[in-house]
Amino acid sequence: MDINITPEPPYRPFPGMEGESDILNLGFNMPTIFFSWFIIGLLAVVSFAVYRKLRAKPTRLQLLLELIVDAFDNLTQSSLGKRGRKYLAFVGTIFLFVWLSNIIGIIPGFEEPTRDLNTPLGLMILVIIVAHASGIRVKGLRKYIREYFEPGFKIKGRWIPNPFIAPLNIVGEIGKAISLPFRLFGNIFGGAIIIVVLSHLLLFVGLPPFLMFFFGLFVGTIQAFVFAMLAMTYTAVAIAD
Amino acid sequence: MAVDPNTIALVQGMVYVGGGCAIGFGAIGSGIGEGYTAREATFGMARQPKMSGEVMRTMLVGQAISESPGIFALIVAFLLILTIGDITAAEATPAFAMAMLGCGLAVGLSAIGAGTGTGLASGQACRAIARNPDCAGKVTITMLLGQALATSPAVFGFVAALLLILFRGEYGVSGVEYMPYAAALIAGGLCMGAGAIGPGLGIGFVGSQACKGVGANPRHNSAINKTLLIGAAVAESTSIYAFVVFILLVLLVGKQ
Amino acid sequence: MAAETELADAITKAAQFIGAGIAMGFGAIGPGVGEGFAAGKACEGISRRPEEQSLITRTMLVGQAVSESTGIYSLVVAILLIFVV
Repeated sequence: MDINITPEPPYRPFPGMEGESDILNLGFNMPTIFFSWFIIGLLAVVSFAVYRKLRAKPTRLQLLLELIVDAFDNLTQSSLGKRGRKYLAFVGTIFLFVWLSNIIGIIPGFEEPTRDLNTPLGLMILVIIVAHASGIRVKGLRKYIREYFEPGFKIKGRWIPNPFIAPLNIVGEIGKAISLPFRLFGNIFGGAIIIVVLSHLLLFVGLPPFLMFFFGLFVGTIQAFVFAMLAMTYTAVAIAD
Repeated sequence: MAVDPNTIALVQGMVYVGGGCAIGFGAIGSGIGEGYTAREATFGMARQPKMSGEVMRTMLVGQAISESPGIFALIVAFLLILTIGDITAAEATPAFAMAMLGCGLAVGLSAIGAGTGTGLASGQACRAIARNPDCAGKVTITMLLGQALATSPAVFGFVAALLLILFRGEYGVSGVEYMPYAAALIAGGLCMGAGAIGPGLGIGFVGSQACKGVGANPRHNSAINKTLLIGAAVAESTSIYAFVVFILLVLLVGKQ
Repeated sequence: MAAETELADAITKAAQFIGAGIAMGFGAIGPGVGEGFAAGKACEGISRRPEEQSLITRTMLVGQAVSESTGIYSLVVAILLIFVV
């Protein structure tokens, strides 16, 4: 969807990234791509550097990463059970990526990749594919399709699929897929709009940095956690019996 | 083409009506919410007069956050009345009038649910602290989390209103064409405003029950906070659908 | 004659947009409150029985998904009114 209303940041430190550029007739939003890869590279380099030098007496960075991994280990195990370890990397990576994407905007000149609707949409596709694929793999295709016709009729002990409930279940799945990316996008984009408009209107020094802090750090962290948790619970619901 | 001065006056009047809608509707929710918080706080103090300082502090913090949807509405009302009040002849179109009315409706109606909801959360927090003063810190954290989540429908309404104001130069449609545009603009505002009432109230209820739960069982506050976050995020989704429809109506249809 | 059909088209389009706005706006109230109720009671339930939290969370999500379906119908109707009709 082409919604070109993203407010421009006050200045762009990196040249050659003015908005969209057309390559092979496809619109590329250069800041989004650049900052997404920046965050991916940062995460990869930092975690690899810490992993190479694991110590029994941890450094501060190692302690922070261990805290995050431990917290997500507990969370995935409490809702996915013994399969939790398998999804730990997926959920944790989504959290770290979305979190850094949300809070990177508080550095002047940096843009949140999540302010572009395409980033949450891409993450949504990933989450939906993982949830449904693990549902099919754990339960089998037969049982997976049968779930769409639940609750069915019981006639003389035999289960009869209910054809009227299937559209409702499918619409429900579509609704999950719509609300997941728009929740993230709406909150981050809304914060950005509020900051820009109030900075223009009020010409007041104290309020915009405070708002930036609130929307960048607080709302950004909450929304990243919510996104990762929903990715995890959608998977948990898909593989539950 | 000279514009009829009566038209200008009418459009200007519509802007003032929008401002009135913003703060008129916007004050309902915050009023109810803060009153509910104060009610629970006084009730708690009457039970546990020793803890009145702690309860008082929680009440004031909760009321300050419960006020914020009302403050959003106040900001938009000031914007509409003070800075948009004098419109030029080029802006005197029905679409402009409807956009400003929609702007007032968006922020005003959306503040009803969020104001009441945040008040529910802080009220139950006051009650829980009066009952179990040892867990005051944990309850306050849960209360702030619930209130921040309950405010987010109001933030959507506020953003919608600011977007409608931001595009103020782009509503200059005339002729018979104006009708769908004007309709889309006011419908967008109404959609965002009314759509945020339910989620605001609902998330506030989640926050209030979570505060009650943490007060009853402070050891398991992290599990309760997790459920609060997930439940509130899902309850928020209808206000996100309203925001999506607003974006479709205003940015794809209404903006010329 | 042409002007009349133009006017009629404009009125129809205007009515569609108003209808879409009302459908989504008022359709979102009920599911919002209802889902909030479900989640609130889930929080209360977890504070009573923390050991059952995965069961409670799952039930909460299923219940919310069902009560959200009317909100999704509103969304579908609104999008139909805006783009298709």
